[in-house]
Amino acid sequence: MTAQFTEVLHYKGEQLSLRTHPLSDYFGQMGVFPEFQDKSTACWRRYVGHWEILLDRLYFVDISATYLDGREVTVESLFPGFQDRVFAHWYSGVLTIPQGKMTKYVHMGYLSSYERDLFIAVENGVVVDTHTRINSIDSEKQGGSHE
Amino acid sequence: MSNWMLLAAIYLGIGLIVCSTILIAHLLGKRKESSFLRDAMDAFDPRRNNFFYRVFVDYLIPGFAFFLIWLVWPFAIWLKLRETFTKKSEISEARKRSEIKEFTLTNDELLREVSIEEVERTNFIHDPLEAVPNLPFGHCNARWVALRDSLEPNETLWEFESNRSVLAGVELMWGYAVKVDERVDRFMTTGWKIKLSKS
Repeated sequence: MTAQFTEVLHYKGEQLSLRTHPLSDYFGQMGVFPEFQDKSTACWRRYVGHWEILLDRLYFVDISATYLDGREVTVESLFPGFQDRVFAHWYSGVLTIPQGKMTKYVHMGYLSSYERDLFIAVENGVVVDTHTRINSIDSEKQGGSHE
Repeated sequence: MSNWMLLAAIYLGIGLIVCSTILIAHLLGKRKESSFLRDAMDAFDPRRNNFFYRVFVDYLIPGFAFFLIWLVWPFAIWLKLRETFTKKSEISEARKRSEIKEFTLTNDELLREVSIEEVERTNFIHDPLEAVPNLPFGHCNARWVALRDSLEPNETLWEFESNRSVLAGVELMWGYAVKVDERVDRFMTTGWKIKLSKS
């Protein structure tokens, strides 16, 4: 399995890679599975979602994907009546965000290692906690540092 | 030209047409690849910026594949047909698997019986940026409507809370359950409490 594209997260003025897929949770909960065109073997889910944390809330703001008939997928095509942003109140979980330099590349899933991992706990779309883990070069020994 | 040479020429001729079609489809697919996709792939896999890796991936592998398909093109056609016809059934199978709800609530986890009106009145979602519809359960309204409309006269609606979620990091979950014949028949989770592991 090829290394997979991350989602894109805009947080505190930075564009970050997000290893969590809140939109998949939405599709799963709603029992709706829109069919998108294949993107690449590096994107098995067939879309890349763009997210933003603003006012301690998680918002879905854009998507890069194409329907099977060639139409571009937009936020509004998934959430009629909402063109620019959608409050992701359906999502509860931990957002995982790799940060710093890549210390080890693994050609599979999200197994590559980075200097740090930022974890953001979200309850019903609202950020409730954050934690940064400092990863040692030796992936076996991982230190911890709280934000 | 002997018969077998003629047959070989026809076979390889058809193979050349098949290969050319696949090559054109591949190149058209490459053209459709968005710059976002290319940039993301480059950022993601550092090897893509290496000259020899690019030559290997962009020319040697496709060249070898082209030659191979030319020789065994009926097999390539069979693979493509198989992929086309099995893809849809695989997707529907995956959906069926994802829709299996193995988790069941117990009666102990039911807190109190509620009415539809109460549920709808107390579950509006407020957002300062107004990025949620003014409906009960916001963007998940359709899910609630499906549960609400499925209620039979002999079924009752209950509020539930459970700490038995199998999802990682979930300490507590809550929502609404439908009870019939003294057992929970189906439920809809509407909230989760998350615990962040700090180890």
